Amino acid sequence: MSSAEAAPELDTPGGPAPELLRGVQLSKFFVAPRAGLKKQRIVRAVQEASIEIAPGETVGLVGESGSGKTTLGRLLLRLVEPTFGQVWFDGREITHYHERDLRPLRRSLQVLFQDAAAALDDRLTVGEILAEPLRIHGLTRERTRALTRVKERERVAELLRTVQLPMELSSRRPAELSSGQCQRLSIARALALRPRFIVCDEPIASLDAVDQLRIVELLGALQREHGHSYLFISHDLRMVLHLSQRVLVMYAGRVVESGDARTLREHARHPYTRALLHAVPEVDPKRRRLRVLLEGEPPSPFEPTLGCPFHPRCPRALPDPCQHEAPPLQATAPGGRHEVACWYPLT
Amino acid sequence: MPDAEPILRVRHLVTRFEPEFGGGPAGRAAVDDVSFDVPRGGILGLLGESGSGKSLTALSILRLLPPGAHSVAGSIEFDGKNLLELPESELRKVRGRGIAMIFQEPALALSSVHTVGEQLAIALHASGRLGRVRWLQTLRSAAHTLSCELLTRVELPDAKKMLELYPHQLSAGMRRRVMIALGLACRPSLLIADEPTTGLDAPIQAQVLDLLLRLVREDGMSMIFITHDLCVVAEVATELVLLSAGKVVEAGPARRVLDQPQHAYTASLLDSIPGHRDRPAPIASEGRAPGAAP
Repeated sequence: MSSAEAAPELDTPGGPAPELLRGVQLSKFFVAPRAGLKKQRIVRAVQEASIEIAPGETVGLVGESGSGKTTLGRLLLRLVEPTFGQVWFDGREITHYHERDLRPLRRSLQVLFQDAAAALDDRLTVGEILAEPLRIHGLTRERTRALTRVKERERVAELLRTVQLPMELSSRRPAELSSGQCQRLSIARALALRPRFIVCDEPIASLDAVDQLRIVELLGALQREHGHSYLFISHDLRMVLHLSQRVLVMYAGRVVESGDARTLREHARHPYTRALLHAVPEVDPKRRRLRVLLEGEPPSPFEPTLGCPFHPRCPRALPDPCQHEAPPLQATAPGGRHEVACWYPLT
Repeated sequence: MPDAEPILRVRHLVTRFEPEFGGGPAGRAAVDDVSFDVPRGGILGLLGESGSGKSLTALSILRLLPPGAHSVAGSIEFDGKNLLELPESELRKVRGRGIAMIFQEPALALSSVHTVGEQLAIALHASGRLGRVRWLQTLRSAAHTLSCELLTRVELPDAKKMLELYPHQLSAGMRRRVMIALGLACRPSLLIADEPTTGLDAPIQAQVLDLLLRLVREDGMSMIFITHDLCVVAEVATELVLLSAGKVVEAGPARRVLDQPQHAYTASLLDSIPGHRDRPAPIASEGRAPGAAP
């Protein structure tokens, strides 16, 4: 099941990195098309974001809409070409791989989309949806077509079982499924190729509370069984802290804080992370902290802010240097894994 | 407070779809024998998963049901009148002025071809708050003044400029605020908010919740707050009604329902909140590394 067997010749680095996937100083600028007489504008969707994901690890990525979470996820999958920076997978730099060379890697790099129903071909049956990736990558190829079909069917049944969908569904079409079932089907499709890394892009945002937890539990069980890694993208900080080992917080295209989930929950140092924690609604009134509400709207990607991107909404911002210079992402303690980009971090 | 006459009293409400509109087998009712009171000045949280009938309950109150759906039994008492027996012409006077509704999806509920100012003016005119003015110019300026006032109340910056904008030029959070302004336009005594914060990012959601709570308190309004999010409802509601498959599963003062749920369904909802009661363990703990990557 090794996906390395079909990999092209490598430009091997010095030694094997412990990470499965690494993004180094990734930036992505989009050019917004001219509208009317307006000038072309550049959208800085992601700026100098670095991320490392170890095998079997779940890394959470939080931020408001428009903060660049999805773009960063796609950069790692090479679905979007980085403007600057590098992507490393399994010790190889894949930033400039051609599509042809990427294809064998695509097996190992899968994605779950927020709108599962839209990501499924509504003209195919459930069984066909699951068999398609197997066929493309020739995973079930046998000597004769009939044998291939049998093997395909076996694998499809197995996949449905793994995501706890009834076998009867295999002849249905996505339109006949509930949203929770659609998401299970996307999970099964992602798993079909036995990936090593799955980007989960808001996989539970459009589900009901009970379905959300069921899907999250399923993702966890599958990870324990298969040992793949997740990048879990969400705007729901509570869920991200709950299920990730490490968390990155993005704001206006930059990573503003990163660290272990437990560290961030108890000792978040960036005012934005703290504000996100405060904004989470709580059932238990005792846990409802003294609210510090974020004023104002999230930043517009068209109008880059001078200085620290967060300073217009920051309760702690001072004219100098917050308004002039963007703070670098620095470890809070030498050699530590907790990093924060703030001139005056909270204590 | 509890002994005061409730502002809205719903009793044994049944709303069902006609069979040709997907009424389902044996005429299963979408809203099935639902009863609750909205206390004066209180906030009733109507909670349930999608398809549980919470939106249909709200739409039944204002008789704005989708084609093929009818309320066939029960009573809805508001202001001493049974809304179900009211003729359409009378009910019109209740809509907006007595009971206003903030609809779920602003992108759909707002007109995309009218500016914010025009939509507010229409609502204000319908409410009769502009009075009987003979001169169009006076009418315009009255609408303008009142609209600016409304937008300021929902904390939209730069109200004058905002009036000239179309909904697509606003952010999601701003659109919600415009929806709230529209709901307030007719000074209702009961506000029905259908998922007013769903789909917003946490910081903006907190802003909108705060705003709604403040407005309700300031105007002495009552509110029905519809949501599928238990955490959100826990923040705002004084009373809770939990719906499942069109039936009331549990009802009572919010604190009591959340602290001592009587029904297994309520308990399962509470358990589905990550970290609540510290029950569900994280996906993979630190010491995990089950099997190397395949």
